[in-house]
Amino acid sequence: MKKIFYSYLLTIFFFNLSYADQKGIDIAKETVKRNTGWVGSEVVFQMILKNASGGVAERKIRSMALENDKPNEGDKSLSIFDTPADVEGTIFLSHTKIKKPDDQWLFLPALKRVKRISSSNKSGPFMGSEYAYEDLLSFEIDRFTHTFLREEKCPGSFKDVDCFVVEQTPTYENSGYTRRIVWTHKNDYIAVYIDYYDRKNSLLKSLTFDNYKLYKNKFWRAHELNMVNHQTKKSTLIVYEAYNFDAAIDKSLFNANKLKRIR
Amino acid sequence: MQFFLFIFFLSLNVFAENDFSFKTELGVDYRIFPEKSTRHPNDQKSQFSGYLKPELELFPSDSKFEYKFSGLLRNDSSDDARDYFEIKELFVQYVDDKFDLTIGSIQNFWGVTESAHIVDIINQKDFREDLDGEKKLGQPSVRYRRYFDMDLFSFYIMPYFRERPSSTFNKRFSSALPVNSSSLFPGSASKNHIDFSTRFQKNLGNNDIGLIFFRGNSRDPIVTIENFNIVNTYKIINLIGLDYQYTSEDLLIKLETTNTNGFGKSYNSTVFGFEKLLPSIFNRIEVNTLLEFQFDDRNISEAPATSLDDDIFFGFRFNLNDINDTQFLIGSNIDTNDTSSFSILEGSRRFLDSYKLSLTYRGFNNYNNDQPFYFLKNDDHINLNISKFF
Repeated sequence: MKKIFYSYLLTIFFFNLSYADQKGIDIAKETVKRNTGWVGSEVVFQMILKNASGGVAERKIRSMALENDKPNEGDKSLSIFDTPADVEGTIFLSHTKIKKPDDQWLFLPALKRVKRISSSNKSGPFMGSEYAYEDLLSFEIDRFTHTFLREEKCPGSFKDVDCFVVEQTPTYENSGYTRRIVWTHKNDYIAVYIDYYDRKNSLLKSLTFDNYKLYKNKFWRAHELNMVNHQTKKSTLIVYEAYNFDAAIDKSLFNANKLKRIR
Repeated sequence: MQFFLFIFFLSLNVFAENDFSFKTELGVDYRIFPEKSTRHPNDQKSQFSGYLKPELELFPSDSKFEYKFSGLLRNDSSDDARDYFEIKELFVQYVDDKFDLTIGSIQNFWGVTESAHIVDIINQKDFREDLDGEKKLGQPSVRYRRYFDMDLFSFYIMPYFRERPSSTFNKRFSSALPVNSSSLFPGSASKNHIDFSTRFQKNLGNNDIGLIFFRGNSRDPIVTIENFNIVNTYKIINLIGLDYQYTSEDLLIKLETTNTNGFGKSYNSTVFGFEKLLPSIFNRIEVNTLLEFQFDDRNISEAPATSLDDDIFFGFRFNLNDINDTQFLIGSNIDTNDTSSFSILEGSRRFLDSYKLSLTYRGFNNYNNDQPFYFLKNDDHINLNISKFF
């Protein structure tokens, strides 16, 4: 009798667990599905870096992205730094992979040198900001395990709607996080808020998405992303100008050999 | 007046996004030499110079042609050879999706290693600028580049040769004797010899391979002494080169190797090494270790001198990843035959948004009189650089 009771308990436990996992994956799949088919985009953004004592520094970056056209590859992206002046013209090119390490290149205009670089530094900061490289990678389902936690009112400026709360654990190596908790808008399947937990599993950073706009009647893009580091009290605000989805993005630009030609 | 300047620069900004860009770097270098020079007992203990680097690019959006000019104007407190204006780039380029064609003076970089750049053979080294040989003269060229998916083929015709400049005799970094202003070009070598070079670059996943062929005037001269003067001799060489990099998540394996024919018996030069990314410190500071080995089997009685014959370079590169992009490189190059070495420390950081501060230290240790570059042995120096970017 006891045995049956335990197996009953275990069944409930595993059923709940797999239900939570399945629902987590379903939410991730729906998020990805709704953001499929944008082909290519172009955007200019400003990064505003603030330190604990109120000091501010700004960066201006032009960014282009190309949606993956093969199932086992991620997106390609290109970032061109316009300021600060001493790094003007520096270009970062990334070919995101899902199971393999990403391919990354850096073009250094002063040396006329295209350098292929190591990609393991995912937890390192991007341009001295509070964003790590891994925070800026395109969202790929297989890079995480997904566990549905609960439904609740969304945080921040989305208070009136409900959010799915899902815990995502990185499956790739060299992540700076043990996990992240993502609040996803229940109707539109867009991320609204993310908490990042460091390797010691204490709350490190929070990212707030704001000022979402709809493009081509299908693709939501946040135009203000604010990353706050709770441990250092530093923060970085990214402000996007309007996205351009109509631009016929030249696929051949995402070629390391052609970085020297980009304006 | 200031108002008009303001409007002018504002209008430049408006155009910059579409049709042209203009930028300038204005800087000063202050060099300190702690030791007495080997050349002249009263030689300078410090050296001060200022420079201006303008760069103009025109790329009309309705045209496939683009134009570029970049130059360097330097003025030095004590060495007249360092008062000059150099056109680094002045070219017109036709840009097509699959290829581009460039005519004019160009700057070109090839290679993967850090401690030496032996396959980087298009441009002449400018030792007036710095001892590291990484500053180059513009090279008049016709360049064709053909782009394939991840691969690149390029071809160069170079109708005019530029001799290697050097510091004034008796000044810091100069050679032990005065350099005769007329160089020798034996055989078919000549300043007007038409040099050719070609390179094919192939990507195979994590492996990148470059194959190089060059025929023309050697960029490195062989040095002979006549009447207490140094005479530079340039010869026609055939050079075959290979560069290779293997890239994994945190390790780069690098190789450059060349075979040079033209100075007596043909010789091989090789640089081989690793760059390993270490786990970051405080999740922020990036540390790379560099280890490179240099081999060379040339006979320096008939070929240009090199100090990198049986050497090991070991170093660390730190990137603090802070708002000011603070970076350091510390390293040492040791000759395993005679234990001579030089050490380098380079650091830089941005300040006030558009200024940059750089500090370089180079020290020469155990340099004996029988070495080709012994005259540098007391030229240990600290270079302090401040530059403003417009």
